[in-house]
Amino acid sequence: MMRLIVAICFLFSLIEANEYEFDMDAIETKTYEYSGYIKASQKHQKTKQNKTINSYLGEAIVGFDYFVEQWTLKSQFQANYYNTDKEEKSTDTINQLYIDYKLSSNNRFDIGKQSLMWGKAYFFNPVAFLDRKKDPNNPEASKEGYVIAHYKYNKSYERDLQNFSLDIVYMPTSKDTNDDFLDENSNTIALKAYFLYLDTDIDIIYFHNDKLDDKFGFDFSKNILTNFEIHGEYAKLDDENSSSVVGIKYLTSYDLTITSEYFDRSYRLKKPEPFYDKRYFINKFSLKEPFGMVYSSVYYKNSLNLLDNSTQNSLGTVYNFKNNIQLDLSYIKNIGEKKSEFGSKNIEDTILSKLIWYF
Amino acid sequence: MKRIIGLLLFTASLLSSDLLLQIDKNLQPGSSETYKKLINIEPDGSKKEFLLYQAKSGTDKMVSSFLKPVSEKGRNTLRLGENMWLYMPSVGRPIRITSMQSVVGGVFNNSDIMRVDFSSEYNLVKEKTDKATYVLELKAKNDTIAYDKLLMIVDKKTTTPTQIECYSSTGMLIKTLYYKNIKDFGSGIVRPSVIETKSPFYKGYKSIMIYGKITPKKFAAETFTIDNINKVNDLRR
Repeated sequence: MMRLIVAICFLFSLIEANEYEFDMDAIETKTYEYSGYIKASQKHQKTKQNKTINSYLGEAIVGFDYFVEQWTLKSQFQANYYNTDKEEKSTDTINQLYIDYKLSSNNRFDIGKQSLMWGKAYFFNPVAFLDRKKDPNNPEASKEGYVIAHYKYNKSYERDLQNFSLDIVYMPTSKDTNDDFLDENSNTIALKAYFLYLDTDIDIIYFHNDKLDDKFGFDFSKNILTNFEIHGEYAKLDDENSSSVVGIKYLTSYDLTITSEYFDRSYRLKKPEPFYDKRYFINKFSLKEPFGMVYSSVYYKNSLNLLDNSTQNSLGTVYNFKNNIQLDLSYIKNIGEKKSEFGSKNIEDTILSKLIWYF
Repeated sequence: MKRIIGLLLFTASLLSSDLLLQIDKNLQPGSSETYKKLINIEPDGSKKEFLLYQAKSGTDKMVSSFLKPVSEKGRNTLRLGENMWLYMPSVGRPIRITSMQSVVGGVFNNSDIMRVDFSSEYNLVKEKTDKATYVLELKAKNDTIAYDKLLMIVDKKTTTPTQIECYSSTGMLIKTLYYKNIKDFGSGIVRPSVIETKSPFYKGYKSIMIYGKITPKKFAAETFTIDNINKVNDLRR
């Protein structure tokens, strides 16, 4: 009997020891790294004419980085496949491909195609002068950068000004380079000064292109309470026109995150662009681990066009499985008057399912 | 008489803060890098594991990077005093977050994972002692700290915690941390290598943090800036 008890105790100690095991091989460093995902989406949509449209979308993203001393090669490639109502299309894009050189802890230089992702807001970034415009319905979709040369100075201090950095960016355009920014020969210089001053992030941005109007931008972000963040961006686009966004992020005690942003543009664009020529108020409510279900969340997002009171509403849920798979199911409904932005859309509602496998 | 009592109280407070500083020093050197594993165990026994790299400098600067699982890889966090930012590769830029949020889901929140020194966040308000332990009551220095009050049991022999109860400002027990398995990490660092966490809010769930490697290391001050939040992994090379 005693032997049996000793054996059981030994077994339990082994199980516990195994639970506390740490695999040191897992922390080995390599000279290269890769990561990415494959996403399969299905859209089931109903039109105003009561017609059903089924679309299938595939997306693959692969990032590969290679490190040699102070040099880093960074790259990201994307391939997309669309099958909308049996009509097929595919695209492939180099999102990023650039070389970074660390001169010192204060100075870095990089050259190639990359996205700078300037700005502090979630759905709109008026000050992101050198990034492609975001789709506020899918703010994380925009990953492709421009070909630039970029120098960064970065310095930390032990005083009210805790950190200062300066970005200097040169971007050429021609019929072959960055032509979707400007389809003619031009030169752009952009400067961004960042300050972490009294626990507040502040950016001041200047943009100069020899064929376009100069632009000036300002943004900030601050936690005014531990669970309450405010942010804003202002962009002066030319003598008459400006664009701005103000927003908050609030976390309740029961893990509900509320993200709200108000976007305004001082005028209507000569050439209409989706979203960027109107006033919007976007609210997203995201509840983590509803009913105690870990690795899951539910969300509701409402995009309100303040000019015509039409809205787009998304209700969804996300679950992260243990095998690096994420499932995102949502229902999207457009509501509004016949001539309003969302009310005039031919699609009345959408059931969207996304399955993402990370590797 | 009043002067003597005042002097005694002042001396006691100095000794107390010395004790907290000693605990901090024993848990982690001022400037160091750490590899740790987080395991969330669900009531049915299923597990989810996370591997983390962390670099710390001084009493209140820290950066973290998830190395595993691959769905979280490149998700980096920066803590600079009471400021916290999160970088996600899918978003591509740092966003401000709060210490109460949970980056990984489960019982551990950002504050547990990005723990800086106790002495930088808490004041020692009460101390009891017996033969083998100190029992310390710590009060948050301000309301931005994740837990308002800590009840810490400290092993006298190693001057490291064995148990910490974390309370909200309303006096509600949020979670209990159990420090276990004393291990010699080298360079004079002898500390518990395992922290188990249980919370009344997650009945049946358990989270374990296992320290694999702690190495004293100096970092440039600019390591702890939002411009370098996406380059945490470079520190490992």
